[in-house]
Amino acid sequence: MSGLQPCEILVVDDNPGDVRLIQESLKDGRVPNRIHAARDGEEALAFLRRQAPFESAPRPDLILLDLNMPKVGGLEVLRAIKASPEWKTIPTVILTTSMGNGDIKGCYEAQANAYLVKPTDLGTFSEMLSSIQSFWLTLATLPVG
Amino acid sequence: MTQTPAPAISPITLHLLLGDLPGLATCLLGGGGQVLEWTEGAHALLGQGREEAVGRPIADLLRIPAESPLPLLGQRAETWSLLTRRDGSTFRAQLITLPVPEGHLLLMHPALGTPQPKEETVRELMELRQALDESAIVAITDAKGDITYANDRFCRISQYSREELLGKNHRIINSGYHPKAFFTNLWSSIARGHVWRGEIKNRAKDGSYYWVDTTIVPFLDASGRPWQYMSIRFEITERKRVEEALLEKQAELEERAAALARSNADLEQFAYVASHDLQEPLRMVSSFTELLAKRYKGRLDTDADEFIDFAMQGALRMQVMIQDLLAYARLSNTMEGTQRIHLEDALDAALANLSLAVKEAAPTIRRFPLPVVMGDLSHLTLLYQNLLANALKFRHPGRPLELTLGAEREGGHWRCSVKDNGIGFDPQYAERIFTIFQRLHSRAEYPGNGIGLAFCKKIVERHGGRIWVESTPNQGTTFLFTLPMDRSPS
Repeated sequence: MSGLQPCEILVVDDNPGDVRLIQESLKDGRVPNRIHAARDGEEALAFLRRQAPFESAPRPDLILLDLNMPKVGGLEVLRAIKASPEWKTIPTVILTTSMGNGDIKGCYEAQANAYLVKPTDLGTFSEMLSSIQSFWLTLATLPVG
Repeated sequence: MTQTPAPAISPITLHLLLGDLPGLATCLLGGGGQVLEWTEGAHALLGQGREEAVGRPIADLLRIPAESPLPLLGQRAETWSLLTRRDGSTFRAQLITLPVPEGHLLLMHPALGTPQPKEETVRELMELRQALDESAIVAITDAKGDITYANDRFCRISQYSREELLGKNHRIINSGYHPKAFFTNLWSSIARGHVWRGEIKNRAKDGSYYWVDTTIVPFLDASGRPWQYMSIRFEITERKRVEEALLEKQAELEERAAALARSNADLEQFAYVASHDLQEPLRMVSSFTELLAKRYKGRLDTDADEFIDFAMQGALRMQVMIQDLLAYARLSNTMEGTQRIHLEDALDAALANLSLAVKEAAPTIRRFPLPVVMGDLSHLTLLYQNLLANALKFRHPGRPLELTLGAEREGGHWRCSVKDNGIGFDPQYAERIFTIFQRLHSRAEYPGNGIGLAFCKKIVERHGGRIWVESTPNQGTTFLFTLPMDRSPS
């Protein structure tokens, strides 16, 4: 990854508090990044399709996806991403509070790149975000384009 | 004077001839049924002599019941009837009438298979009947179910007089309680000559009900058909009342148990959902207070630092409580089926899990053999772990900790104990300490959330046992719990 170009991270979460926590956790990260937030699945798909008001949206380098959201849920968004030849190579990490095995299994069957449960305390949460960032944006080699 | 032609055999001759046949009673009757001639056979069979009989109506003489009138129809006819001897005894006889010019020739002979009872037999029978009448409610009906006999007990319990009962159909005391099929079965059984036994609810004259244990015995005629039924009954109203009360109580208890199970399940579901959903906003509170602390500690004033600290502590404690609550609610869902397990294994595992705390407290542990029980190993490990952790935590600061672990057989279960010589507590709190989040000490004195013993209680109760505690302040505490015995064949 070029150090000059910031990484584009799409955070799909209906809780603005979580979006903010993710932002705060990644702010001091080693990789320069730009966080884009979508409040539900509908917005996330609009972002990917560059529909209004996201006409100038970039192609995300990483998607952090919550599951329980109003309107279009996380699993539907995941399926849409993995069904699209254009988007399916974008690492999509599920970040949710659900520990239900049905959810976990369903997401991996839909080819989620990882399933992570949000830790309840801030310290662990921040560590998790750093790990995600360093693994997917530094260690992992991803296809270009 | 006109001569009537003489018959081929004089009826008198015939009559006299037949009169000499053994076991056969014959007589000559006039048109109105009065005795014209009386034979020795009749004398022998019935006891009445010729002088006594001649001139009297035969129905009077032999006390023939009104319902079986003698056929005097001017032609040959047959009937069965009950005849009464001079001594008052009765017997069933076949009667044949033959019209003859002088009137009717009547032949009487006792029913086959009913030999004339001897006097002792009669007395014995009378005594038996008396004994039966003394002890039981007795009724006799004819083949149609019309009552022909009712003893005093029957009259007393049904509250009808004998006159009210005789000749009435037995349905007079039907309570309407039993379905129609019940009586259909009863009748089809006794009509085929089988004895029927069962419990019947009847209705007395005043409308009150009574229960009787009933045996109905059909009396069969020579052809094997019942001609009357005797029912022998014993009152069981009180027993039935108790039985019904018991059944009612049982149904009530079952209903209550089901309601309790429902409400427990609801409560667990509620606790799970509530605690899960509570975690979300709480995570926001705790995360952002932590962020506040991280970023602004020492940059505001000391008050602000203290406030943030309290907020963080509160959020943290609430997180632990919610997690405990979740674990408590989940406990019943995670219980795998019970199986034979060695309680020693549960204790070993518990001690291993607590190894750090055990090392620190360095207790003297006295272990007595523990049994094989029916249970869930992981839950029973958790049970021992919580009880031991409790003993380790509340040890007496002034003396080394001693732990005694054992089990005794008591009735159909094992009574296990965990005894310590720790600080103990006032026994008035013996119930309260098993309630979730109830504590006897401040958090500053002893840390903890008051969940451990609630877990213990739930685990023991899920195993069908009971847990309680005995304690003396400053002396020590003993936790006791029961577990079901292993009933599988070893």
